[in-house]
Amino acid sequence: MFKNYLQIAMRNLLKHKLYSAINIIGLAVGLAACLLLFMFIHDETQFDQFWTDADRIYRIESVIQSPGREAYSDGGVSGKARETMLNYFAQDIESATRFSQQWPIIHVGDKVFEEPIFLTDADTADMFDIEVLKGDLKQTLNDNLSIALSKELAIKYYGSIDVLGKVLSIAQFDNKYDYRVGAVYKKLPHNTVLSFNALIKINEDDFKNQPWMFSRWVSANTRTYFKLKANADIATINERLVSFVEGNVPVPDFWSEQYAKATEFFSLKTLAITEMHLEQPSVKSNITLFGAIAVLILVIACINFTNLSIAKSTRRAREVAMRKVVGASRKQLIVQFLGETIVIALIALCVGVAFVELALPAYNDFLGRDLQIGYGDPITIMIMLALVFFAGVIGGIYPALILSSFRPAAILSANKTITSSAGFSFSNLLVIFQFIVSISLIICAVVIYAQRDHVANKELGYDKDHIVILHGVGRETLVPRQQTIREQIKKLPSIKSATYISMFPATGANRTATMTVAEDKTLTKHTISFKEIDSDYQATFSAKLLAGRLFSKEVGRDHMPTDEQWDNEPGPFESNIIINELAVKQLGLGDKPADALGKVIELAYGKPFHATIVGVFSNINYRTTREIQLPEAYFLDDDAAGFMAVRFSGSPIAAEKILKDYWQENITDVPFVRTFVDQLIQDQFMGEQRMSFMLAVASSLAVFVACLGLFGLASFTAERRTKEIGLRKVMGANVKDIVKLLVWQFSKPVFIASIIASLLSYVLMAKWLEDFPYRIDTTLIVPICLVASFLAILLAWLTIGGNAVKVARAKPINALRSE
Amino acid sequence: MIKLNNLSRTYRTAEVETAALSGVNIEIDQGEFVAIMGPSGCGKSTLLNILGMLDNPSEGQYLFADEDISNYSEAKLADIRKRNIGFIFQSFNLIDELSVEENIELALLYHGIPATERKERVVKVMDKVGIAHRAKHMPSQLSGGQQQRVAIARAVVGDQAVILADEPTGNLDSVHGQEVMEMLRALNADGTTIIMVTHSAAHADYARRTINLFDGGVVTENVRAA
Repeated sequence: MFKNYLQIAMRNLLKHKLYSAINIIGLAVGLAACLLLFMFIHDETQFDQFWTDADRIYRIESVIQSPGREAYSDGGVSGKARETMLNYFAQDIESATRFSQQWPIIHVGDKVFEEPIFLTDADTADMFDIEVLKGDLKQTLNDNLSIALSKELAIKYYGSIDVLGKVLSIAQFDNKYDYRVGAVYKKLPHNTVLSFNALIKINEDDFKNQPWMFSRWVSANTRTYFKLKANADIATINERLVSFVEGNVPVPDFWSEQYAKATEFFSLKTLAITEMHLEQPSVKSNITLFGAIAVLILVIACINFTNLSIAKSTRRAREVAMRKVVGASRKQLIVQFLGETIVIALIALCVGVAFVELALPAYNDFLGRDLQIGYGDPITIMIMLALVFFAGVIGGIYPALILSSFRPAAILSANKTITSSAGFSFSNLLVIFQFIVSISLIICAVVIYAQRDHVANKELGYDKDHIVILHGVGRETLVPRQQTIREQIKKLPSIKSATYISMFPATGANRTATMTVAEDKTLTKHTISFKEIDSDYQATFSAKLLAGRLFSKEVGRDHMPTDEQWDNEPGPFESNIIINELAVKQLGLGDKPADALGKVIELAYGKPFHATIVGVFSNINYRTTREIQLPEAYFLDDDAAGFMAVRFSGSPIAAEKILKDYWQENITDVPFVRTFVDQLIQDQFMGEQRMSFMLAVASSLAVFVACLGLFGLASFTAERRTKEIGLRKVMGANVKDIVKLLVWQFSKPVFIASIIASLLSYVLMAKWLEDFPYRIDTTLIVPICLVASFLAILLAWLTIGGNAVKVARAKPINALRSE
Repeated sequence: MIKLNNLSRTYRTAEVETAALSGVNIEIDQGEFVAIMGPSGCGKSTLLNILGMLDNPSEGQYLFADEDISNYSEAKLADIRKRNIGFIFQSFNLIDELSVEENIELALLYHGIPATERKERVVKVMDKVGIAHRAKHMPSQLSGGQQQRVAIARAVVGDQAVILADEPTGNLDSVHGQEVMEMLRALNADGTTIIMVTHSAAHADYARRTINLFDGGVVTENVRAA
């Protein structure tokens, strides 16, 4: 019996090649999209699973609440945690290691590089299975003066991986050592949260002058991982973390006023390495988004399947009737037709896999990964079969129910044809659903793109297209020359101004302090961002002076206390500050900027600090346009910071050349590294750009599959109406009349879909936009909806129109004769 | 074998009610050859559908082999039908995607008969109707007469006790029509009960008894002398 089912299934497929092709290709596209997205989602969930002891490796993280700020954790913990935990949890922890990323200057022969390298402990070699290509990693990490290089870095420095014994020189902080290459290792795969291109053993004695590196509990500067003993349970450690903090973490002096004990501001948590990647909000949202898109495209493809099968059901009516006459039960017929759809789905899967293989290179390029179809992976096989079953059953169940319901008596009389009006009403509903999804995807893609564009190009208050940040200016060897360097750079052609900065613009970095207005009897506390600037800040970032004056080097009170003064003197400290317009409002200092001049602000920063307002700047969005602009206060600190922002005129390429030539001529011990601010901003929106691109591709696929289905359905319907069309032409209808008749039949569902899709998308996108402090006007969504709807209708007409014209031109006598 | 007692069939829609059959009383013995005649719309096809268990009566009783099947479900009717009744239609109703032998085999597919036995019976019946030489051909490659022979073969391959023929010669020329009638006669001679709807008085003469229908009811019954 199944041989008979298979035979008739294959013969039906071959007999109606066009519709079989539409069915198979439509479903293949849906399955291919699903597979590609599944491969990405599968990859996301497999991060760090490949380590031999993955189930025993955890990261310890601290959550710290600075006075006046929200509790914060970025996954780091103090460098002190490792040793303390190894002692405290000796029964449970087998080993632990730290990773501390640094950006030292590296001298390789006469070349100079600035490279991120990682300081780590020797346990790294035991805890993680790093494939060593040359040398001995464990031995290297046990030696203070050895370095392990990744293969890529070895080739970058030396052109080869045969580099054991080579010496390079690393300068960081006040140390400069020669390191011998002791090992070369293979780059870690992409599916790990770890990433290091060079490893050096941590020697805490080298950082006595940098207590924040490994000495302070409140400096969460390292990533610390530990491995449980074979029979240990992480729950045991989690239960004892509070007592661990109580027993080991002191309250720092500068917070002694605010906190009595460490547990008031400090807590620890553990996270399994296998869960770390998925904990990131962007990863979770990507998985949700990609998963939803995959399901939607597959559903659209299955709808095609269903619609074409319903349309074809008239052709199978006689066969169904005869099978019932000779004794087939309804159940047997349902099994037969479901089996047919599963066979078609299987063929579509093979075609879909071919599509995936063709798309993989571009897909991997887009994702920055190396995904492959795991033909031997049981989970991949299971997912493929599940997709086939899902598509076959979901796509085929309704047509199977319709077909198996045909009553033989109604069909087998001469010249009777059968139509299932319920079936065709359902088909229309499905077409409407397909186009609702397609049009909605188009609208969402355009809105997300428009929002990204708006935010990425938003006016920041300074000329972001003509500012470049120079790295390395805070290096120890350059500190004595910093004022000279700045003055020399300011004199270069095309250079307008240069200022030292401690934080990059257009990032989320922000420092805040609690401030009160001295004359405010209520002593209301305000959290105000602050930064140290030098006397060239205003010229570089084009801040407008709205009231008062700029800082002056000659005015002693304009300078904020030095670090030495702050550390050694009890206070109170006094200096002048400049604030921005938002701070004037936030602090309630008056209606006009000038009202703030002369007012005194008290800072709560451990020691008494009075600051007098001498000037008011216009608002500059120094952070990102993802966050609301903040009230800010500025202190003068002409002692340089880590970076220099340079404002230039003319072309960025020309400016870069000028700066690079100057640098290479005057500074030989620090490499020239620069970042253009506009590029930095664009890079930050890569996530949204990627999402917008994905949605654009998804909506294109959805529209393609929907139109494919529409074409098939329209062709079938035209065929079914052959006699009617013939009669209409005999009665006097011309080609235009017939085309209008056929095209209008399928325009109606698309019109209805465009209205529903526009309403749904407007509500959805308006809600999504609410999360952005700076956003496009929601009324802009309306024309986007109109354009997307128009596009969908146009595509539908183009899809149906050609075939409608062909049918309309056929001779009526042929149509009538066929009856 | 077949008994209809006061049988009626009414079709109802929202707007109209049509009495296709009304108060029909018929008895057909095993081995009989009965023709049913009447003008278009008199209820012949409806009667045949009910006799063939493709439809249920609205009122009355249908006894098949002394079993009242009037209110049986579709599944139960299908079971009785496949064991007892073969069908021959005016428009042949062969499945275009199956070959001649596959079309005939279809009638045995739902009987649980093993494949080898099915093949044997198909070959035997193809020989009987003289279509074995076209076994692998598709219906579109056959003439009308040949297609109807395939349909006859399909109707008898299961050794059904009853053959219902709905205008079996309607789409055939006189020569092929004659051939079909001779085959039916031969089947009847072997003991198969034949109930045939026809417009042709000449073909009705092959039957021993003719039932004339008019407006959904039996008006006359003529028994031909042996």
